[in-house]
Amino acid sequence: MHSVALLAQAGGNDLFSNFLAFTILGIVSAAIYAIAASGLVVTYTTSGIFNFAHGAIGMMGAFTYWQLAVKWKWPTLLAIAVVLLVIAPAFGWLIDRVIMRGLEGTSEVTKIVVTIGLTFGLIALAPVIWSPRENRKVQPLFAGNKFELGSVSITYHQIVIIVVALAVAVGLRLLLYKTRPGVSMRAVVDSRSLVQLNGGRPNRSSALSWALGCSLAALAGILIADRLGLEVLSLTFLVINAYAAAIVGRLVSLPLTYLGALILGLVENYAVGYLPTNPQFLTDRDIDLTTTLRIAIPVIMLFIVLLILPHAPLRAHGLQRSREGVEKPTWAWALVGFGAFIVATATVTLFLSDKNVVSWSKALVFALIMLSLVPLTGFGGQISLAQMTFAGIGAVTMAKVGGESGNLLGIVLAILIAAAVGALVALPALRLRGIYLALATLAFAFFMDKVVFSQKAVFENGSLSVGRPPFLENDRVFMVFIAVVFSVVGIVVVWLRLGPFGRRLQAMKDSPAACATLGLNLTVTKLQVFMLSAGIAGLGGAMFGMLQKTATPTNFEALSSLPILLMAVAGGVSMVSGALLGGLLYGSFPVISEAIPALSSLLLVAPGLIGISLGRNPNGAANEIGTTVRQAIDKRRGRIEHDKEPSKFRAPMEPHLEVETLGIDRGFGPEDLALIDEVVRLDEEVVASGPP
Amino acid sequence: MGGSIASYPTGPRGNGSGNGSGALQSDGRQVIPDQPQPPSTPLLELRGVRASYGRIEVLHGVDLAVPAGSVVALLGPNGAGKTTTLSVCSGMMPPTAGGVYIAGRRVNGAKPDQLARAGVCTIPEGRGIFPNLTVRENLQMMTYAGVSLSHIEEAAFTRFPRLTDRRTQVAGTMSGGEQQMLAMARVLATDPALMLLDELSMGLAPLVVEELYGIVAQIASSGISILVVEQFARTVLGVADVAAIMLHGRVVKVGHPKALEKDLSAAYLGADGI
Amino acid sequence: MALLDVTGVSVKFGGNMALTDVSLAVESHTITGLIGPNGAGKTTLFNVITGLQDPLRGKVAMNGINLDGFAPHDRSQRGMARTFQRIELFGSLTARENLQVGAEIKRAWDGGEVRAGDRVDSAIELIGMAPFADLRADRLTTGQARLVELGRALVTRPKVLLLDEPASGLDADETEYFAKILRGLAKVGMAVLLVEHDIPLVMKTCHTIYVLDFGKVIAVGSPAEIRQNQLVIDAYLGAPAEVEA
Repeated sequence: MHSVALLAQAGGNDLFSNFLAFTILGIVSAAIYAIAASGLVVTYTTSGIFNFAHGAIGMMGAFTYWQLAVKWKWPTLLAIAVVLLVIAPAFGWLIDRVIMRGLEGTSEVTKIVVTIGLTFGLIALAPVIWSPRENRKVQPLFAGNKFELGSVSITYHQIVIIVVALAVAVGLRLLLYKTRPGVSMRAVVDSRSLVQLNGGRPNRSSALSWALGCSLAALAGILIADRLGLEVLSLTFLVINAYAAAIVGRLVSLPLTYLGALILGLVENYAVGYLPTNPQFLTDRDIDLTTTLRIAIPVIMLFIVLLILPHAPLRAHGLQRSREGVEKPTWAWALVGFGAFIVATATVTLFLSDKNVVSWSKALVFALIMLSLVPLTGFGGQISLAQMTFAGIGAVTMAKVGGESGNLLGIVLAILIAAAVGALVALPALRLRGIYLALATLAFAFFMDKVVFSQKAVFENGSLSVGRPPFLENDRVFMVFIAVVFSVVGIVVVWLRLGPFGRRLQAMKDSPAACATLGLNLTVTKLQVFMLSAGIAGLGGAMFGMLQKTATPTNFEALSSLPILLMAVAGGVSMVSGALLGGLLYGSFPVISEAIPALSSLLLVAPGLIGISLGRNPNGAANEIGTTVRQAIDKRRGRIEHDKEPSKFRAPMEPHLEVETLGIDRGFGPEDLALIDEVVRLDEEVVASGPP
Repeated sequence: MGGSIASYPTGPRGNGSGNGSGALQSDGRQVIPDQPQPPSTPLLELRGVRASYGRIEVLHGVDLAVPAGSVVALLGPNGAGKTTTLSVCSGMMPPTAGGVYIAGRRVNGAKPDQLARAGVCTIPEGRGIFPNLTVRENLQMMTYAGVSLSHIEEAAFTRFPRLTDRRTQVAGTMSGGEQQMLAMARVLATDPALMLLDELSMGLAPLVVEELYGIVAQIASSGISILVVEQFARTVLGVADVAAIMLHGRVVKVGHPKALEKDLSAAYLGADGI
Repeated sequence: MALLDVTGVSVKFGGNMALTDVSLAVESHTITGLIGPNGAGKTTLFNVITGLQDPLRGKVAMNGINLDGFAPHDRSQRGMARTFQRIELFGSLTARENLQVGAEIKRAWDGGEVRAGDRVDSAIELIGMAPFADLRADRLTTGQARLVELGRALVTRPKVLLLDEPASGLDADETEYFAKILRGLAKVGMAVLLVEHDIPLVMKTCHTIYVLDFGKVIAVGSPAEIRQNQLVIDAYLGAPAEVEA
C-alpha cells in the first residue's frame, strides 16, 4: 500500500511528522474521491440517472490515457487533454444520445439496470482492448519531483491532484452559477418543461452533464492510475469511495460531497497509521482485521451515512402510465409449466455429455439465484446488487453445516442465515429511496468480497468442499433435483404473486404514498421481501456449492452479482419464467464460447449489451415470448382479439372535417346552450333546495 | 410589435418559405368562406384540435382564435380542458388531430423550445419560475429567447423595482406575488408576439392578482396577443377583448366579455364557483 | 373534542406560507366541506392530516390523541383513510385488486372478523364498480378511477374519510350517485372531510363548510351562510374588476 512508502518518506518515528504525512495523504485521497464524486453528482442531478458506470468510465479513461501517453508516446499534457476534452466528453455524449434518451417512461429499476449493464460491458470490454497479459504502468506526473515540508516529502503529483481538485470545485461552481449552460443544468432539475418554455433545450443540458461527468470520471481515473495500477477492477471500484462521499451530499450537494470526500480520505489514512494491529486471539482463529478493515472504511462510512440520512418524505405522484407491466400468472399455466420443465430437464439429462450436464446445471442454479430477484425487483421494485454474495453465504453455510455427506439441514440454515444477513444489510437503506438500497447492497457485496470471504476462517485455503447427500451423488440426478427445487421455489413465488403479499408488493411499487395511507408499514414490507430474496439466493448458493462440490471466493465476488441482475431483468424479472430464461441464457454463454471460441469475447460483453438495451424492452424476453404465444393460442381458438388500445383516438393528423362548421365566429348550437342551461339550472336548484 | 413569429422559418410541414403564409391564408379563407372578413389572419388559431392523455381524450375538437393584438380569456370549470388547450398551443402536448396555427403557419409537432425562441411566451400554471435559482439566474434563463441579459435585467428591474433588491435571492423564497412578477418579467423583457398565460391568480391574494392583471392590460396595450386561462372570471373579463367558455373539452361559447358576463357568472359559478 | 381536530397548522414552502394557522374540526356523522380556489392549500392540509407532510407548527389529533410523530401508516391504522387529487391507484393491479390490497392491509393489522374478500365484494357493490372491477387500474376512466379510490379507502373501514376532489371527472349521473354514497357514509357514523370544486355537490351534501383562501380559513359555516359571505365570493371571483375594457 502507498501509505507504507510514505511512512518511510516521513522518516523516523516523529509523531508530528507521521501525523502530517497521513494528513497529506488523506487530503490527496480526498481530492481524487471529490473529483470522481462531483462527476457523479453533476450527472445525477441533471439527468436523474445515477451512473453506476462512473467508475468503469474512469477506468476506461485511465486506460485510454495509457494508450496515448505510454504506448503511443504522446506528450503527457496532450494525452491528458485529448482524453479529458475530446474522448471522454464524446463518450458521455454518446451514452446520453444512444442509451439514456430511450429511458423516458421507464422505472427507476430499469434506469439503474441500464447503467449497471454499461458498467459490466465496459469491464468486460477493457481486457478485450487491452490484453491483461501485458504489464502496464503509468508514471505519476512530474515523476521523481518532490519537495520537503518539514520532514515530510510531497511529490509534485500529489500537489497536482490537490490543485486539480480545487480547480474542479471552482470550475464547477463557476460553470453552474455563472454561465447559461450551467444555470440551465440547474434549471432542468427544477422544471424540465419550463426550460423548454423559456426556449432552452433540456436535452442539451443532459448531454452536457454526461459529457462533464465522464470527463471528471476520466480525470479521477488518470490521477489515481499510478497508485492503483492499471487494473480494471480496482479502478472501477474506486467509485465506491466516491459513492460514500456523494451520499454525504445526498447525491445533490457539491460542497457536502467535497466534505464527505475529505472525511473519507482522512479517516482512511489515519486508520492506516493509527488503527491497532490485530489482537492475538483473533489471529489464532484465522481472522485478520488489520488490513481488511482499512479496505472496508468507505463501505462502513457509506452505511453510517445511510443510517444518519433523514427520511425522504413520501410523495403522491399521480397514477403513472408506465410502459412496464406484465400479465399475472395463472395457476394452470404455472403448474403445467413447472411440470413440463421438470420432465424436460429429466429427458435432457439423458442426452447431455457429462461435462454439459454440469454446465447446464449451473445455468439452472443461476436461474434459481435470479428467481430471488423476482419478488424483490419484479414485484417490489427494489434492487439488490448482492445476490451472489448471499449465495456465497449460503454456500459457506452448506459447506460448514452440511459436511461430507451433505446434510440437508445445511440448506435450511443457508436460507435462514442469508435471510438474516439480508435483513441487517437492508435495514439502514429501506426507509430511503430505491437507489440507496442498490448502493448499500453493492457496498455490502464489496465488503464481503474483500473482507469476509478473504478470511482464512471463512474459506480456509481459498476453497471449501461441499458435500452432497448420497442419493444426489449422480450429476444427472442432481440436475433434476435442481429443476425440482427451482419449481418448488417458483410455485412459492407464483403463490405469493397471486396472494396478499404479492399484491402488496406490486402496490408498493406503484404508489408507496397510497400504501402508507392505507396503513401499510413500508419499511417492514420491504424488509420482508428483502429477507425472502436473500434467503432464496442463499438456497441458490447452497445448490451452487453442492453442484461444484466446492465453493471458492471467486465464485461470489462482488462483480458477479451484476450479470445476475442484468440477465434476470433481460429475461423478465417480473416472471418466474423470465428468471429461468435469464439463467439459461447466462449459462449458455460458456457453453457457446467453448464451442465457438471466436465468440468468447463477444459473449463476455453480452450481459452488458443486453443490460444497455433494456430501455427498449423493459419487460424482458419472457414476457415478449409469453404474449406472442398467448396471442397465437387465442387466435387458433378463434377468440375475438380485444384490442386493448382503442383505435378511435388515433385519428390522422389532418384538420378535422368539422372545421367548416365550427370555429370562432360561429353561433351557438342548441346543444351548447343546453349544456350551459343545465349548469345554471343545477345551481339554481341548489339555491332553492339548500342542503339536506 | 416585435417577436419573430413572422420570420419563423420551419413549421413541421413547411420547408422554408415555399408554401408559406400565402398558401395557408388562402387555405384559411377556403375553410370559412363567407365569414365577415376578419381583419387579418389570427395570430393563434386552433382548428378542431383533439388531444388525449394516454387513451383518454380530453379535447374533443377545440376551435379557438386569438386575433392579432387582442386578449382572449379562456374560462370554464375544472377539468374542462383549459390547461390542456394551452399545453397544445405551447407545444408541450402534441394534438392527436386538428391543427394549431400560429400567424397562419401550421405548427403541429413543433417543440416548445422552438416556439419559445420564435416568440411564443408561455407562463405555465403555478409560477413560471425556477424556485431554486436566484432571481438573476431566472432572468438569465430568459435569454434563450434571443435577448441579452442586460436588456432583460433593465426591463425587469424598471418595471418591478422590488426585484432589484432580490437579485441574488433564491426565487422560491420570495412571496407568491413576487414570483409571479418575475415570471411576467419574461414577457416584458423578451417582447414576444404571443403570450400564453395559465391561472395567473392561483394561490394569490386578490390585491396581488389585481396588480398582476394591471400588468397584463399594459402588455396587451403594447400589442402583444394574449391567451389567458383563468378561474377568476371577473378579474380577467376586465382585460379581455374576447371570452371563450370551455366545457367538457370543447369551446362552447365565444363572445364579447360584456355580453357574456351575466351569462358567464351563472354558468361558471354553477360548475366551479359558489 | 371532535373526532378529528386540526389546531393551528402552518406549513411553509420556500418563502410562501402554504397554510397559516389553520384549525378545523370534523365530527362523526357529518360531512364537512373544504373549499377554496386552486392553490389555496387544501391538498397540503390533507397531507398534513395524513402525515405525508410535516407542519411547521400546529397539531392534528384524533379522538383527543395527538398524532404528532405518527407515520402515515400509524394514522391509517387509527382509522383514517384518504383519496388523492391526482389519482394514486395501483396501476398494475386490477380495480378489484386495488380494493383487496386495502382490505388485506387492514386485516393484517387488526385481524378483523370479516374476510377481506367479503369486504371487497360489498364495497364493489356499494360503489357500483362491478362493470369495471376486473380491468387494470391504469386503463380506467377518471370517473371510474375516482370511484375505485373511494372504494379502496372504504374497505379499510375508516372513522375519518378524507376525499380530495372525488367528483372531478365524474359525469352528472355519477356525481348524483356519489352524493348518495356520501350521505350514506355519514349516516352510518363516518366523519367525512370533502375537498371539492363541484360547489353544488358541496352545498347539497355538507353540513359545515370551511373556506380556505391563500392558506387561511376565511369562513366557516353552514352552506347557507357560506353562500352569503362576501369574503368567500371575492375569494372565488377575485375582486370586482376595476380595469374596464
